Amino acid sequence: MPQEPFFIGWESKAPVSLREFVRRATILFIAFGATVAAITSMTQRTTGSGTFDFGNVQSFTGLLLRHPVPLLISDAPIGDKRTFYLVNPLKHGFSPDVAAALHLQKVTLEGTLIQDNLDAMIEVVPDSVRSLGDDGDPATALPPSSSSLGATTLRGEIVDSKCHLGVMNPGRFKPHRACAIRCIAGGIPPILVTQDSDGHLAHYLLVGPDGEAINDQILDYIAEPVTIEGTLRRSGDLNVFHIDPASITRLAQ
Amino acid sequence: MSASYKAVGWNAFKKRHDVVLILSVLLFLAIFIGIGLLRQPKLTLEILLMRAFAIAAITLLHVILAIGPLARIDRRWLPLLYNRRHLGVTMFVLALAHSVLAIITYHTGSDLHPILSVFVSDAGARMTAVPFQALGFLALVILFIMAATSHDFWLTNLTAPVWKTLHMSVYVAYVLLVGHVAFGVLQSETAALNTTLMGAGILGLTGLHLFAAWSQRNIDNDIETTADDSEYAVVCRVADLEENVPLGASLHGERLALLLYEGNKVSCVSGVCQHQNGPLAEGQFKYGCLTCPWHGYQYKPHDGTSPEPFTEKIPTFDVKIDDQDRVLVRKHPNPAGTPVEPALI
Ligand code: HEM
Repeated sequence: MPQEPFFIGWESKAPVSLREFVRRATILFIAFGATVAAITSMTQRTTGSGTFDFGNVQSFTGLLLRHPVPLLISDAPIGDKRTFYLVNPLKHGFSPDVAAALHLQKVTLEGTLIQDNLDAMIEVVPDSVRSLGDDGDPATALPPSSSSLGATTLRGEIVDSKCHLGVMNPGRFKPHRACAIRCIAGGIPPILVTQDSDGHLAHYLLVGPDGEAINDQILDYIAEPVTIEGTLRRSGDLNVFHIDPASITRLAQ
Repeated sequence: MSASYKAVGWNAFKKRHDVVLILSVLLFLAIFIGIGLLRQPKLTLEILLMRAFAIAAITLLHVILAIGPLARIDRRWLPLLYNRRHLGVTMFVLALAHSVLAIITYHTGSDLHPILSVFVSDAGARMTAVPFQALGFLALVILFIMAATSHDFWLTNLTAPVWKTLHMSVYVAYVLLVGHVAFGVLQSETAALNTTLMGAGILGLTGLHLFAAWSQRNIDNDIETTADDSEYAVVCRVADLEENVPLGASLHGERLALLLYEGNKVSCVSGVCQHQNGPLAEGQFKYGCLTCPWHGYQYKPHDGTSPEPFTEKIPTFDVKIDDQDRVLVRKHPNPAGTPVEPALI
């Protein structure tokens, strides 16, 4: 009596009708996979606009400041920027001790540029910072500093400045949350990223009421929509937002 | 089938299967990465690769999980089941590449150990702080154990029931991965299409499994014990038997396969293949043996042993045919490999 075709894997030839079926099934699976690949690749939306000049170490000269976070005010502007955040490699902030020791001194250092269209940063080669001796004159070296723009409430997402400015695109949102927490815990300056209705981003460096670091107090609010109350100041090229960490409100539960 | 676990042979079918598999995976990655680079040249390469490996892996996982129920619904899918372990190992390699890239990109370079960081960095007691990467890590551990024990060496040493149970944990891994995606990337890639795809995957697989179970609900007619002869149970009538096609039944939950062969002989063996618990009652009588539909393992119907040089054996059952042409099977199986005189019709 006729039996349905039966496949035995160790036989060298499967029945013809089965071979045809398997061929079609395989093509079906491959077409399914190709469609999934195309759709998921085309719907990826999150990205960033920054650059990380990885592998291109340059020399920078300027005035080193320890407040509000370690900064270099470069002698010569690079592009349209003179104020550079200073950070160490990987997930480590610039050493507060080195910043304190060299505060307001003219220095030269080696590092890699990280920047987007708003802010810039130098990943400093460890131990490359040299004092040039002559203490800079803060009055001339410092851009018009710390003008208060008043109290305000801002809505946005707290991220670590290093990844967001270009080390990772995207350096925001839930997938990046753990990384941002590690970076900020490691001393990378936290920034608030806000977005207006046209999609334009703005950055606000987050510090305490007296300009002190608040990294450890905001770890639980990173990479989520939040509102924060505080006082806005302009320092060099930077927006500095002086906040009380207790005023941070999570928008999603 | 194999004389021992070392003798798993490579035949033309297996080789072609793996060439097609690897080319398909490369095609998938090329499409994903190609489109990604064209659309978003600034996307960090590690992240693009991390996503490409992840989505290739989870897509392959859906294919792997679909093949089982498809083969139960329509047996022509069975050839794809034959080498499913190769798909599993390939999927694990992709998932591993994704995981390693994620750990290097997001977790190295801080004061915390990277693996510890996966578990604690973003963990919190609220929906927005589910540590989705920890779920991925646990899934990876399961997939690793499965890939590492996929070889017949482990099947033999762990025994088929233990091995099969172990490999059912792929469903635990799947649930963990749904959480990994839902609490992770779907919180930022909020395009409705992504959520829809994941949802379609879950619904599709659940539907297939339910449908397969429903279509097989009567596969083993459970036998009522007859009052007149308590040692034997009536399984069917002689007329119900079709030559060379086994009939499945279950006796107090124990599956058996009843076979009419060589014109007039009726034998009964366990319905569970020793290799991977395959359904022998869905096999066929080939080359003088009852042949398992999954991997072609074979057993002689009268004594449940595999032909030389193979060493597998399964329990046999005593069979008799009464004067009303009913086929009766003794309720207690004989030890594996015990010869039983076939009943004659
Ligand atoms: C140590 C283990 C793992 C870690 C640390 C991890 C980490 C991550 C991270 C960080 C993301 C977000 C990527 C992004 O930036 O877009 C992600 C997404 C994803 N992961 Fe994992 N993962 C792990 C294991 C796995 C495993 C085993 C799978 C199995 C297939 C998997 C499948 C996925 C999928 C499908 C996505 C979504 C990809 C997308 O749409 O972008 N992950 N994972």
